[in-house]
Amino acid sequence: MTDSGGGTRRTGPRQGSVLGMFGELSDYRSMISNLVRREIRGRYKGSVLGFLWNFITPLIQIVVYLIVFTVIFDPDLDNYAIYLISGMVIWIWFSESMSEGSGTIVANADMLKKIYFPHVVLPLSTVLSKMVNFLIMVAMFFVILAATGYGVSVYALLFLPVAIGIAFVFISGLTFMLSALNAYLRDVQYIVSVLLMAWIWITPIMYEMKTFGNAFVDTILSLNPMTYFVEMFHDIFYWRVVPGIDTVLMCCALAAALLAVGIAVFRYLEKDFAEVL
Amino acid sequence: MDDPGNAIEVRRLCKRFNTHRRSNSLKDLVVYHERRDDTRVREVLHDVSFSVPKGGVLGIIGRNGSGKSTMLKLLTRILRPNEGTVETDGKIACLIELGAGFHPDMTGRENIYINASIFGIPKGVIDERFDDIVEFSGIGEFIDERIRNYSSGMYLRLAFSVAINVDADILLVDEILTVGDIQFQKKCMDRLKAFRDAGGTIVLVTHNIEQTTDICDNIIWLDDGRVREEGAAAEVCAHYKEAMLGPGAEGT
Repeated sequence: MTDSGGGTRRTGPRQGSVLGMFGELSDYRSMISNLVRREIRGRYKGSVLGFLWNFITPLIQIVVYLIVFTVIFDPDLDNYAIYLISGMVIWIWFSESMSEGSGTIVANADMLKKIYFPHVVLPLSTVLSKMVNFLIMVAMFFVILAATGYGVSVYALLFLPVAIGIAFVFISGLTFMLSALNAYLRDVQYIVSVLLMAWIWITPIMYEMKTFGNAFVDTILSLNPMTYFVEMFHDIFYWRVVPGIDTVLMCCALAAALLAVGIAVFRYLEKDFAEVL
Repeated sequence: MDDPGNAIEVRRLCKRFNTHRRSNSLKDLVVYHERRDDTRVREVLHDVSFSVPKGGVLGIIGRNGSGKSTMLKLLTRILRPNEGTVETDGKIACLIELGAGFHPDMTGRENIYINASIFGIPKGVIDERFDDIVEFSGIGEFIDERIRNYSSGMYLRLAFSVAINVDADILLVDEILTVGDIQFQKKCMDRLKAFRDAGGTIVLVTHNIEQTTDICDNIIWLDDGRVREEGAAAEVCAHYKEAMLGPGAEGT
């Protein structure tokens, strides 16, 4: 007897504990890995370039920004490409998780109404598959760093896994919340894509974070949670230093808050998924 | 659990559905917000209680729309009760909607893994069971073909094989023994009986009265969301038949 989901289980109008929810996820490891694989490989099945499409879109995006900001505008920053890429890799993980993750509950409505499984595996799989893409992009970035002779700081790199962990928590919380909201209000998905379009410009990815002297702009930049995450990756790859303690604490606080809110919202809304979808 | 010998205990279960128009878009929410009070609540199950002992087979019968499938969905946790509780002891497998999560563009082999993973089965266990699943389905060499090319019978047979091979303690079966040809149906029935004889618990929803009396110990007759009668299979079935087909009753 496999006895994974075994033991006595009681279901009432109220839900079980958050801890139980995560305990249950371990039974669904193979489902998560199947979903991640499907997301990465199956998505572009049938296209000639297939799997490579995961990277072509972000690559083109980076190249376009690079041309615009080095040829047309003249950046103050030396090694602008390194600066741009170190911000873009984390931004792409963040934005793709949000834009695709928000639709995942609705997209899998059919399955969700027919079989019981912990619903959170759906947005979680999206975030994980985008994380795999992120890691591959970071690996390619290392090649660039080595090839250009820009190099890395070993001390700063020791902090990279921690930074990735914090970012993972933050992105998960946000994606859980959006995917659940989208089940009730289909506009969420479209609002997210519009929002992301504007969001990238209020995040210091293409320009350096500093005080601009315009109260509105400065306020927005400091209120934007992504500012701190992008700064963390700038520190590691571009400035080659261990990220400042205030940046790290800010990211930790944001990640913890988003995860708590994300899980609370998800669990509250998930009760009726099978009925509203 | 009140009685540790029970595999399933359902107590005072109520399930209601809201039948108001759904607001899925921002426009609906903003424009029609005030009109959302036209919410009508439909009670699909009302104060249903029953229990199934370990190794027992319970049949649920009743006319269309009487709440049978909702009852099964509550047992699987797809739906959550509004009142009352469902307690289950052991791993549940459902033969409710066969082939959920099947991908037409993937092969039978790939789909076995994907489908079983949705039931929460680790990969190692699927590896062990793989040959049994293929063997039972009778799919043979087609296992490496994309299931897009399967006949509907093959598709259902594969789905049934996965579901019945997941090593559960409790099996929920909804109206699916009409799968495949007569030979496969018999195979399914034999498998269900073997499952029961090995100590497994089964809840079965069906319209096939002969089948019901053949395998079930007890029957619950649901009528309009309430338990109309509960008891030994032959007796309840006889009353049900009389009510459904007898003079003066609303026929089907």
